Amino acid sequence: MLEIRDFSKTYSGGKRAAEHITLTIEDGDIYGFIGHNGAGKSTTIRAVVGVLDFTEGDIFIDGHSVKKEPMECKKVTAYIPDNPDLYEHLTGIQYLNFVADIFGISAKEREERIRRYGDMFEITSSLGDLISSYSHGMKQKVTVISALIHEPKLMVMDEPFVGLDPKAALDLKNVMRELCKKGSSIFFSTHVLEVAQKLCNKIAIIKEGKIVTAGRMEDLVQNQSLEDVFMEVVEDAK
Amino acid sequence: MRSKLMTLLKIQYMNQSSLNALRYETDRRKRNRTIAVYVSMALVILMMMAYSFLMAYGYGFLGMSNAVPGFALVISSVVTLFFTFIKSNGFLFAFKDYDMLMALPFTTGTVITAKFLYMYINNLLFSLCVMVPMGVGYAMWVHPSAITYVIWLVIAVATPLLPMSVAALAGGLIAAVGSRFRFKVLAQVILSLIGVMAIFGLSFSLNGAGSNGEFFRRIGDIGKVMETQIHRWYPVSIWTDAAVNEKSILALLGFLLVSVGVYGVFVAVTSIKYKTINTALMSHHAASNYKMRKQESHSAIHALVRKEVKRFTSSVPYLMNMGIGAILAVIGSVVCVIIGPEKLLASMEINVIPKQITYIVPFAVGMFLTMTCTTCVSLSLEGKNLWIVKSLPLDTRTIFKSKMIFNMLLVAPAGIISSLCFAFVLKVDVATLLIYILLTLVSVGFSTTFGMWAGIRFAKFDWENEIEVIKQGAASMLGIFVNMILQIILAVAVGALSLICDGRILMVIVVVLLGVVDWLIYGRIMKIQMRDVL
Repeated sequence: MLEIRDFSKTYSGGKRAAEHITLTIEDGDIYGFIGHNGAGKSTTIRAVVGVLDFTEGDIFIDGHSVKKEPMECKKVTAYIPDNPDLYEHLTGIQYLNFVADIFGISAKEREERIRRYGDMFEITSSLGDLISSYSHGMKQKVTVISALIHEPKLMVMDEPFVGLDPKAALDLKNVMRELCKKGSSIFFSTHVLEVAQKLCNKIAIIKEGKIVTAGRMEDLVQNQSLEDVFMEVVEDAK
Repeated sequence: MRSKLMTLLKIQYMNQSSLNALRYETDRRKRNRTIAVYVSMALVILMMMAYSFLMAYGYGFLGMSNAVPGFALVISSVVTLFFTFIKSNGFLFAFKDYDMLMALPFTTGTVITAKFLYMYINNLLFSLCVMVPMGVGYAMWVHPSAITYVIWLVIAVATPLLPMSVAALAGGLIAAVGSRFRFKVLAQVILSLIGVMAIFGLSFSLNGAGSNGEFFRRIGDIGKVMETQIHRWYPVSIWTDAAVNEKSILALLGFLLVSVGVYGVFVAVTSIKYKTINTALMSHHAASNYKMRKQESHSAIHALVRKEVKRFTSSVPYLMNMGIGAILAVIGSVVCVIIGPEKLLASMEINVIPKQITYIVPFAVGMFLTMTCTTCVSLSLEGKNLWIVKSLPLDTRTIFKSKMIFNMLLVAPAGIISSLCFAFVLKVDVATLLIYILLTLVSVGFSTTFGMWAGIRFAKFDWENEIEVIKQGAASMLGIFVNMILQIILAVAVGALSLICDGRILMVIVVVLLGVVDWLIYGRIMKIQMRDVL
């Protein structure tokens, strides 16, 4: 579903944020992307979803190149950024309809999905209010619903659990599992290693822009905790 | 207090002036953009200084030097009044970093003073750009003593205080009253428009003093009449005139006392209600009673244009700054119809409409209309939301198209209304009316496409306050400036050439030429990719 092939990114100031990253995320994978702050997680994620331009390497989504066929890639992808900066002058329902219009979702389908996820995340009653009146968590919930509105084949998330209340976090985890059962893939970054260990079937650990280890969770962790593995791998990479 | 104030002031400059970007930005493209902004600002300042000097020199040439001090004061004050009034909401009140600043150990007075000082320094630069060259023009005819130069400079430094305090107080009152309504933006825009009309009314009255027929007949009394009018409308100018013309230190002290006193009153009054006003302005009505109902689907372009409409109508600074041109064009043309052509011409002591006026009017209307150029700023206003359009399956061309469609939808109807009104006032035939409408549409087309090009070329997404983009952005300044200059050049060219050939043919030629230019710029925009923007 997602193939990152020898991806590197150097910012115009000369900072090398990602170096020769190669990863493959298959259908049905919940793939965790773990690393320190500034390790290159967000840079990679932003390149995958087409927000960040890059020249070195290539990224393929559902067989299409992000560089050459960005529209084909974006049609099957949903992105949840680390900070839910939404259009504050729209109401929640207006924003969701905006996203649904862009993806060409029929009125009936969007209505069903907004109702379902709105009720699940307990935000339906607030959808008529301006987003500017929302708390961080409410904005995050609207972002999640907008990502789910077109039933993406690939969901890319940057720290998706930040700001969510415990119930919403649990609901999101369930939605992620449900999506993967249907054949979609999820690629997400997180600092919460317990969540990654429980949720992901595969992980990659990134340090200073380089992948230091990647693979199936059970192969990497074995009898240890992910926290121990992470600390060990990161120390070894020094 | 003083050191905190200076720290706050310094941070505001570092944050908003782009000097930091010039110093630390390693991306050459971004650095070049910042340099281009400063170069264009310098050009505008130079032009303004040249214009001010020529005006003062001209008055001296006509033997009206005595009126120059008051006139310089009024020009500087009216513009300060106008810009502070528009800017107060979103900068002085309801600014984005309000929570951060008020949570730090600053007193409310320090925050207000820092914000006010920032505006004062910017206005002072403008004041000096007007007052100094006008002072030079004045001195070339009067040859005053050294003390006059000092007095002039002191007046120039104090000039912005009074209009700024009055405008900020009015802006604060409007913000306070507006915040009581559920539809705050609408309430504030209506109240602000009334304020802007009042300022225009004031400046129109002053201009009226200098343009009626009697005035010209009594050319010998011209300076006296003008002085009297200025003194009537802006009484503190009596003191500045006396201070400069008669070297009266007492008059100078009077002016300084009033200016500083009014500022003091403003800070004291605003400090009391500052938190209340800001809390009311920044808190949002949340009914939390939404019930899912039938949804409708629309095309992507429809959704994007709708988003632009919501963006425009939800921000007082955006609506006031960018919408004012179209609003003034409509109000002005409707007022002309209401007053009636006979009365209007009689007030200007014109019995027969010169034919040239019928060829110049569409450009005068165009000058106002093209002040409404949302495309200059709408891309930059995406700001932190840019990730949304970049990550959605949207073609770059669709994004740009939606922004241009919105501007056309906003300004074209205003242009058609104005064209119809002036066609009625000037009693032109149907063919001329059609040319008026076409001319308006290609002018709006030019402002839309050129504005979009400037908006892309000088895009700035890392703003803290939308004012940085709307009022201080290079794209906004360039877009409005180029449109205004173009309309003036076209008006002069068509007006002059219509003396030797048919003005209607000239207007048709302009329609065709502008239409071609619009199409060329549009074609250029359609080739730009989002990755070229950032």
